[in-house]
Amino acid sequence: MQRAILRNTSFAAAFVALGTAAYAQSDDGTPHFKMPVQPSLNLYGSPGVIDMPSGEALPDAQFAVSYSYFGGISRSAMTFQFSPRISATFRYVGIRNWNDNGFDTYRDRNFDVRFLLRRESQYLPAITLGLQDFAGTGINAAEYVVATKTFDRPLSLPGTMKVSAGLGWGRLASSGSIGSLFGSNRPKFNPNSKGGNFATDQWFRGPTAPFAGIEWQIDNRWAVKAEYSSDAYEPETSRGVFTRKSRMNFGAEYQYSQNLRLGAYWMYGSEFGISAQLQVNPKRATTPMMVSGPRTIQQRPTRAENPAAWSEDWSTSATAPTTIRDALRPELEKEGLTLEALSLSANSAELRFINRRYSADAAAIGRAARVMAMILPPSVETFRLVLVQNNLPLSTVTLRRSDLEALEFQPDNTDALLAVTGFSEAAPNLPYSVKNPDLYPSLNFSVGPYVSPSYFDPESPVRADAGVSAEFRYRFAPGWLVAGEMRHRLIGNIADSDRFSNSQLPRVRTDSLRYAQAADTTLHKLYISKQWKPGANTYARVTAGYLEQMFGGVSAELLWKPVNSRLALGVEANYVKQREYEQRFGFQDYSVATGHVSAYYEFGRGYMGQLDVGRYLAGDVGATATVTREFANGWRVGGFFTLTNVSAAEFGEGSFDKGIILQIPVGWFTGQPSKRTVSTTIRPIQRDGGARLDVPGRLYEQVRNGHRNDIVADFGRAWE
Amino acid sequence: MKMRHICLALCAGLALSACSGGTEKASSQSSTLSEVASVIVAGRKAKRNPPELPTLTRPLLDNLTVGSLEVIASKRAQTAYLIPEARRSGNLTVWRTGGNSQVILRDGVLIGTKGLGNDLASADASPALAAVRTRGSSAGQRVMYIRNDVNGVDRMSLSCEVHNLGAENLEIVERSFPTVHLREDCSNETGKIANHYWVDRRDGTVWKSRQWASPQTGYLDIRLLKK
Repeated sequence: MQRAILRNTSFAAAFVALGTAAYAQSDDGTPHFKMPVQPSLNLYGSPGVIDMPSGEALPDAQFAVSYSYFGGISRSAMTFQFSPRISATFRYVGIRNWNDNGFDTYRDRNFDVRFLLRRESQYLPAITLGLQDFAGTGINAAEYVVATKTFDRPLSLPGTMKVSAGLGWGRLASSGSIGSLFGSNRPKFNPNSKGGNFATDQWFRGPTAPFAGIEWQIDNRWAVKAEYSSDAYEPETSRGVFTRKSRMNFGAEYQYSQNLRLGAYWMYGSEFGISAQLQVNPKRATTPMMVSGPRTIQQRPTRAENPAAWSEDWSTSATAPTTIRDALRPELEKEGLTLEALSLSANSAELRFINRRYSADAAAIGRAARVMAMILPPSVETFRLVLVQNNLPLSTVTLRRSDLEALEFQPDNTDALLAVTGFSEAAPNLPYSVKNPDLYPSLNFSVGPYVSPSYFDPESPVRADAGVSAEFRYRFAPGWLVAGEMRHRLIGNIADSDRFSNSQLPRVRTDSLRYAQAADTTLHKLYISKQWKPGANTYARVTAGYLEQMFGGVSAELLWKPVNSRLALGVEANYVKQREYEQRFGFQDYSVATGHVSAYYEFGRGYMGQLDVGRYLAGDVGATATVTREFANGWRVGGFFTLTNVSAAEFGEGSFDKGIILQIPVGWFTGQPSKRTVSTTIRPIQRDGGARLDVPGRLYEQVRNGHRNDIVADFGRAWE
Repeated sequence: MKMRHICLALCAGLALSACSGGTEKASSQSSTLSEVASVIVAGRKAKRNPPELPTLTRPLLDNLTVGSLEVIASKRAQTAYLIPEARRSGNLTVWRTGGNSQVILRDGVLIGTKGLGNDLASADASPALAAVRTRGSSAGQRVMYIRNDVNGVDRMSLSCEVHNLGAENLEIVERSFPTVHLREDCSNETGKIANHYWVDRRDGTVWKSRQWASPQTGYLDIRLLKK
């Protein structure tokens, strides 16, 4: 109970924290950028009425988190509108008082997908096709086609009314069926199946039933809902979870803020229900980025006014480069940038620098260019700016100084500057340059708290450990890094579980409980790595040491990624040994050679694909496909799955490895420039098949951020 | 329950006491937590201690050695006094606050803001510029380029008409100016705005104005206290 309270409280706290955030809304009749209407969600966390879905889609890129409860059934869901027409939902359900099949409380994970078949028009409704719980054990398995039409000021009433009607299959046809349209043989729900496979044999099979609902949004705050449900809740009512006395559901909802909506319901004539829905959009920050203004571009005197200032004599002086470097350095540091190397000629300059502050590299490039315009002699016309990421020169961005001077206050200066900006390869080394002598050695350390969560234990769905973490990063020469992290657990309940691994494969991931139980103080990581650019368009890394919690060994990676290319190719090879449970310096007997060949592709508009083919930690061979949608501000939402030569039976529950990737930039919350992000990978279940080594410092993400497509996506901040 | 309180106290304490050193910013949990904590603390402090505003008098203004611009952001009820950061040909001035938020005026017409969030990145304010320069009426398209939250710039186009509302005597801190009052009415399908300019009849200086900056910022009430 105590845990349940803890869980619910932190959940509620997160809701309220985000719920108070508001963003620009035009309530005074001034012009604004149109925002799409945000539909309300049903108890499953999809756009819908109460328990039934509706035909609407969420606004593009919308990210929704919801929680609902009625009659012993709780549903926590996460929905992402992946494209204007396609959305995906991950849901965790708990059904209390199941008392069957060996479960007191039955818990399951669901995946849904929805396709918007047509958008609403003046006379015709929006239509959506949905597959609910299409790959799991199938407790909530259903398919539906549903239409929704919106009426403004219906029957002279205030507000907006939405009327939905649809046809359901599976769970959504368990009450009031009107016959079978596409065959009648639908397999029955089996609570003990392993799940994880696409249930193509049941989609749209068996009986079908109509459902309908109505939502009346009375004003900006209040809405009432009513629906006719086609769900008989047969698995639940037959086990006495709750008693269903009616097909009708009723509810009222309150829009607490733009992001947060709360609801209360009378369900199936017998149960009281509640819901909380949080919707955010990566494209609209909770706090807009507020960056203090830049220094204005220093104008050079005209040649006619002051010919002496344009003299090129300075470039013959032997001391000029060091003098200029020493003038640039403190000014760059004020902008959160560090000079790495500088090369100068009478008419051009190349600045290699590290961006420590801005999540948008375009902002760093703009600020660095302003510093160059302030300090360099007037005869220097061409600025070449090279972002350097831990010894990897990423790309050369070429700007003309006279363009900067001419465009700074022009309308649409962003597009105008982009049109005259060049992007090209950066050479591995900069000849005849002056370097920053103070870069090495450098030591960074931090001591602070950590929280390590563990999800979906049927006994206690959210477990966590927390304690103190101490980290250091020491760089002693270009590209070299020695880094480590120690953790000391102060509190936590991950080790309290008694669900030890039953895996038939080498236990490369499922022994996490043994790792958690073995010690409070652990050496989380300790490794040495070197990365460098061996030649044009190629990047290399070698790493050795205690790479992650469970494995240590050696790792080598080579990446090919031209600056202006959408495609990147990489190869990684590792030889690792499993670490002892106490996570000190020792190892267990298991060792494995693992590695992958990877292809990365940018489809455009933020859609990214990645395919990794190779050998996984348990020695299984196969491939991982990853699709993500990314936003220039650093938000990233995606999913992946891995298929290997391990059979579903050997793999165990879930049949194959899959998961969700979520990354949120810290600056999106704080409104302050920051390179930090919060990221997590959620797996419905962690097994041993298809498991990859977690090597720190993989190359692709480091490299891609400084290449053309990413800089162009950020270019709105180049003048900021 | 007790365990929860201990845990919360511990986390809060650690987040605030987290220490770090060096120039590199790792994306580790502890450094991220401490960054968020420090932003929250700084925000609270700023709210508790709003900057004290001076009482404006003519002698005070006369003794200033640099220009001064009063800007009131009506939507946030914030007042700031700005000094020139830079002046450029074409009667362009970049004004800045102590915290380096900026307001950029060309001939007294707002063409940019910095540091306010969802800023006006740039603007083609041709109708207003023409009217201010001639102290008469004009009409045309105004295009405002406004920063969004995904590191891009959104274009907002407005149809505008500038009307001359006639001569007015404007008083700013015990001094009066002979001005022409211009009103710029702009609209598009999503809404409308009205900007006002009080332009000196003698030399075209915009002494006072009310100008719309962006959906996020709303109107800025601007007074030129000292050129």
